[in-house]
Amino acid sequence: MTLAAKAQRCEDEVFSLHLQDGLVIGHKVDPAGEVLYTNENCGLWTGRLLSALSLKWSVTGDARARAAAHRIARSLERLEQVTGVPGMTARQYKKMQGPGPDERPSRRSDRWYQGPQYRWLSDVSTDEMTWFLTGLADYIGLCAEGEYRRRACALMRRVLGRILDYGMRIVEPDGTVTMWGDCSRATPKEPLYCLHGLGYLKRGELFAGEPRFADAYDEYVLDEEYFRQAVNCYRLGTDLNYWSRADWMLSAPEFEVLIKHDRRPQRRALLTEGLLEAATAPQADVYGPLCSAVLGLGGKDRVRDWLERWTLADDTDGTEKGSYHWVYWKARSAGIIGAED
Amino acid sequence: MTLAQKAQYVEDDLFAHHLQQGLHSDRPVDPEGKILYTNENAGSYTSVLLSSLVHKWHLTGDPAVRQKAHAVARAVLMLEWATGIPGYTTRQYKFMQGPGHDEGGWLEDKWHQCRFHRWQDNLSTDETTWYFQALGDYIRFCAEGEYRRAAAASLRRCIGRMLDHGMRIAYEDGTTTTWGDCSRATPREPLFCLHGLAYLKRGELFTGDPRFADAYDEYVRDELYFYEAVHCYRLGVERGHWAARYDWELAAPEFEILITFDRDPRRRQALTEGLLEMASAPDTTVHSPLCTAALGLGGEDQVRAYLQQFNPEATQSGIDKDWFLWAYWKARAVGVISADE
Repeated sequence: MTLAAKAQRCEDEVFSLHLQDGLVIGHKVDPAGEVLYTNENCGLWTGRLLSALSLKWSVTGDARARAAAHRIARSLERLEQVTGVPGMTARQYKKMQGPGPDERPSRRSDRWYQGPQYRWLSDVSTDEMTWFLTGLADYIGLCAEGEYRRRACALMRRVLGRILDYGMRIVEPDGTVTMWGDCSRATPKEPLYCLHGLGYLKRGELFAGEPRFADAYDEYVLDEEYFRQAVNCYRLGTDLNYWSRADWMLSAPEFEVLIKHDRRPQRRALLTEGLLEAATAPQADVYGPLCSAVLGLGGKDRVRDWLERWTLADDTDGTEKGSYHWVYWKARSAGIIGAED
Repeated sequence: MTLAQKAQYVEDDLFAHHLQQGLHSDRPVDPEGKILYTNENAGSYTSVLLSSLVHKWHLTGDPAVRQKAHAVARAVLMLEWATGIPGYTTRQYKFMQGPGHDEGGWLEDKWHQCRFHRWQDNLSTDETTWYFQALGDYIRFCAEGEYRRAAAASLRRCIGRMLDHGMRIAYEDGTTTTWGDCSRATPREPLFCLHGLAYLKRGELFTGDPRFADAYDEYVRDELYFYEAVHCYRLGVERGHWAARYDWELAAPEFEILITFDRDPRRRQALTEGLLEMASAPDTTVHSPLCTAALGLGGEDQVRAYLQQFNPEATQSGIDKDWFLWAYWKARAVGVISADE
């Protein structure tokens, strides 16, 4: 099977088997549409799907890819709408009165809220936010026009604006900080969160259409300690035992947007060093080398090797299919692989 | 002399001999600062110098270069402030009470006095193209904080004023200047449609004002307007509009920004065809092949040949020196040549 065929099959299966009310989940959904599963990271997976579809549209000009992107963008919008708090997103929503059978006791079982139509899960983390914003930014930058673009920009403006209003913290409806939501200068949860803070503000500057994000970026990036933590998030995170398996997937899009768009060559050089420190780690997953390859810093062979070795089985989790789909289209858009591969 | 040495020689020479009150002059200026010359395109060529310095800063990170870029940006921004009309720039200004002895020629009746400055009216797209291009580069790659805010605000006002007049450069009384009509209804030439789209795209990218993105979406969907923009070279030649000495330098930056940032791959493809149509002309200046090289479409050999053939010591024209400096740093920025050459 070619890489392109694998990517298409992943996409087909994500849409036919893993979309629960427009959100991507790992399990296979109920064919009758009944809500069966909780997936606390489905906002993340759905943001990544939006990014992949936007990249696909930009590379192919396939109108179906664009229509699919518009449809998934609506799901991201709904992550905000269901909370009833402008600028606050949910981890997940379910159209039901609850509690549902899937809300078995877990660390977040007390974080479900009931809205008029939807139940929604709070305690949004930077995991969610990073791909929510990456998906929206790619959608705005590569795909959405007219009303679609305006809605996406407004959504990003509200969500990022609320984070900035709370000093770069993701907060609950009552203003308290979520468990993994503190990207502030004063009390960042981990070094990686400083990288998130800068990455979020840079996206706001580029895609939200509001100058205050550029002003805030200039302020935050001049904080030497904050910037140092952002740059060295991998090494410091490893030293402090914070760095997790998913963190390459979370840090890569931040490094990419900052290395591409920061205005100071000295800072870009430092960020590049930080990225290479993370991307060349032996245990790094494909997101690290893909980011370095996109920036022309090496890593193409590892990406190609990963894409070729990856296999699709009947029991492959929907999030893994989504991951392959995104990596494929990111690699295509950066010219790492061709349409014939 | 290496290319790098030539570029440094030219930069030093431009700053020593070709700046009249901060604005570029083709001829050597008076060492005592006395106003000697009128140069109706001084604003445009000063903007080219700004773009060169921005690329140099972006590559080298030399703070002295950034300082120079800020100083030249101030002179460029003064083109708006000197008129006393928000959003309207002048072709050139002179700090004097007038009329001055230099005010002859076909624009001699277009001088105004605004407080301490004389300024020249009948602004054309020649001027605005490089005003917008250079400020766009400055905002994107160099200016932070107050510098960025001032540049973005000027772009917002100037493109906004054009948009308020239906993409026309308008005199204070609202009538259109001789070479200022980029409207959908009555564009002066096909090239002016390309300008209209590129100005709006820069507004979208660099001002943070969403109305430019809305307007771009509207204008780019006008099929005739887009067709004329794409084929501005062929149509311009057929209709006897194409100015073989100048129009390459005006069309190239527009093609580059649109091909880089338009969201529709089919439109990007059409624009690429239009660019290649223009770049294949035997009499093109270096701007076309440099644009194609920047976009990965070939032309590197022509750029390299131009840079190698240029003899700074034998060149008297400040304009030729200005273009060499810009071509050198642009070529460096896009990787056509390296620092060692």
